[in-house]
Amino acid sequence: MIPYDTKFQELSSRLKLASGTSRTSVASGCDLFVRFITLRSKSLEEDVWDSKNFDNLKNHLVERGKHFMKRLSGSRKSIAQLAYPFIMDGVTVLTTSMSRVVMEILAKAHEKCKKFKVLVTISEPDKRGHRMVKELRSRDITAMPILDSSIGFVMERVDFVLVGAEGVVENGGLINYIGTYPVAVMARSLNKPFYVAVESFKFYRMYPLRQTDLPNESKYLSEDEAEHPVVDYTPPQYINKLFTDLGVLTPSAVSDELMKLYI
Amino acid sequence: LSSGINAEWPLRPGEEFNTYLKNKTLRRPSYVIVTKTVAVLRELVVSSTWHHPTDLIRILKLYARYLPLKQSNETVVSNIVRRVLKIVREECSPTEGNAGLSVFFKKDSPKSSVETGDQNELKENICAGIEELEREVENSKNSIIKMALEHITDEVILTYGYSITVRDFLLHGHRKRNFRLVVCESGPSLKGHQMARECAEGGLDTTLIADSAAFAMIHIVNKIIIGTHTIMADGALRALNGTHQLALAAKHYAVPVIVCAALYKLSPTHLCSYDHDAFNKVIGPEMMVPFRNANLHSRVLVSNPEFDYVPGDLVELYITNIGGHAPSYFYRIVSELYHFKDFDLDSETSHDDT
Repeated sequence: MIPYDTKFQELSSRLKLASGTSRTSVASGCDLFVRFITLRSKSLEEDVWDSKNFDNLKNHLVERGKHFMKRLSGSRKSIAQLAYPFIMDGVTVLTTSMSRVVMEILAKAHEKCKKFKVLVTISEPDKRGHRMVKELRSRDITAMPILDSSIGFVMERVDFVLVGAEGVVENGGLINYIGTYPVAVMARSLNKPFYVAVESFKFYRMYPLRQTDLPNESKYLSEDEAEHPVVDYTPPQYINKLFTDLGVLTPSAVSDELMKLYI
Repeated sequence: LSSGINAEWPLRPGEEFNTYLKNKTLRRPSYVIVTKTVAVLRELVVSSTWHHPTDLIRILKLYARYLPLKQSNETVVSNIVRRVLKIVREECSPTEGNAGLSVFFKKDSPKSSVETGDQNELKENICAGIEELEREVENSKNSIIKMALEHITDEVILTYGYSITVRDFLLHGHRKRNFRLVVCESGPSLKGHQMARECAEGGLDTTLIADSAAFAMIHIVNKIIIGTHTIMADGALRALNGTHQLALAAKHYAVPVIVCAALYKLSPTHLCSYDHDAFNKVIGPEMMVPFRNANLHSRVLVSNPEFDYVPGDLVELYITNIGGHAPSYFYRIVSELYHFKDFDLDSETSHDDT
């Protein structure tokens, strides 16, 4: 089993390098994928693993891979199904950067004929918030870009904050594009709910206590540490609920889910 | 009703229960409703014709949609239906367990893991499960009040509203502990009056205060013990109107708030909006403005909401029939008591059951 294992490691690290700012989610997705396709279950598949027939084994792995992909691609839809009731008529939602899960939730709510407004932080440095606004407007959802520095000004008008995630760590904390942490602190200080929409493959086995505990390859795009970081860590006490394909979870439930997987 | 059920739909026990729920003039403690619900569901399992557990699941879900749950606002009925559904699902496929990240690791298992041959055995097992649930419900109050001596010492306790569980909890504590009880009158329903009267009759040293006096009194109170209507999935409360203010006052003085509630009150639902659209119910204003005075207030909108949302972080401890828990632990209990497919009983995809 050793040769293919290193092959996977190689592929994982190449994917991670290539994925730019989404390094954390790619890392956790890869880990989960490798675990999934190599899992030996005691029941039906003993003969496949034990037999000398390599083609059988190969087909089995490919099939498992496809199954994994099927589960993943359904996850955004199930999250949207779960989360859209939280968007009521007349609410103002604040979101940061560009998240396809959040996009799916807002699109679903719009489809169900709810009237709401979305404020999107521009999210320096690469200003990806503008892409989110464009995408929302193309679906006829009222969206407005706001400066990152004006979240304090805007927060009193907002009903709740809904963000996506690069990764969710073991204590239920959030790793997301830089600028999410100040929004969370601001929301907590004005008692606005802070919701995270995230697929379960992004649950990562890491327990950061501070910003510096995040691994450097997640934070910085290049080896040069003088550069600005691309992600930040939001501690779990600022998060109210997580909308995942496993259901609506509180931050304390995340570690339970991770434990169930690895034990 | 849908055409998915066969002709022998046992409407009679269901109909009586339906009428019972619709009757809002009866004052019904949750415990009574729960025992009735379990009986009706057991009747349904025994007398309806089903060949495969998935049919039974469909019947139960359709029955739940037929009941006037939204009007009567009795979440305990939906909770019991979910418990029974979990019992049935467990008999159907015992290895399935709950959704978790491990869902990635399970291939779609074949539908019939149970032969239809031993259907009688299955029925017996399900009925045994329901009987166990009945026993749990019967003993829930006793399990809670037994813990009174651990949580009450010689102190001043504040309570709000009327709860049979809390009343018996306090009376049980009174056997060996010497404490003073302060009861808030809990306007506008004034349920606190009944609580104060019954506790005083039980021998407790009781003081009745107005709700507006609660903040002033709290600094001499050592703990607050309250009941609740429902426990939400994140450990929050749906309690009597006015509880949130009391909990905030308690937080200000760092007084712990303890909630005594049985687990049939735990509902796997979340609060979707602070406007309480689906969460709260506005009841008749006659408690606030008697009908004879209606003329004086003819231009005024009198609003009398029934419930209050109390976030989980304001509650220190929940005393349930399975022991004491922190609010943050309820996600775990929810995943153990209910199956994730039953969280949303209203969903139209109730035929997608395996």
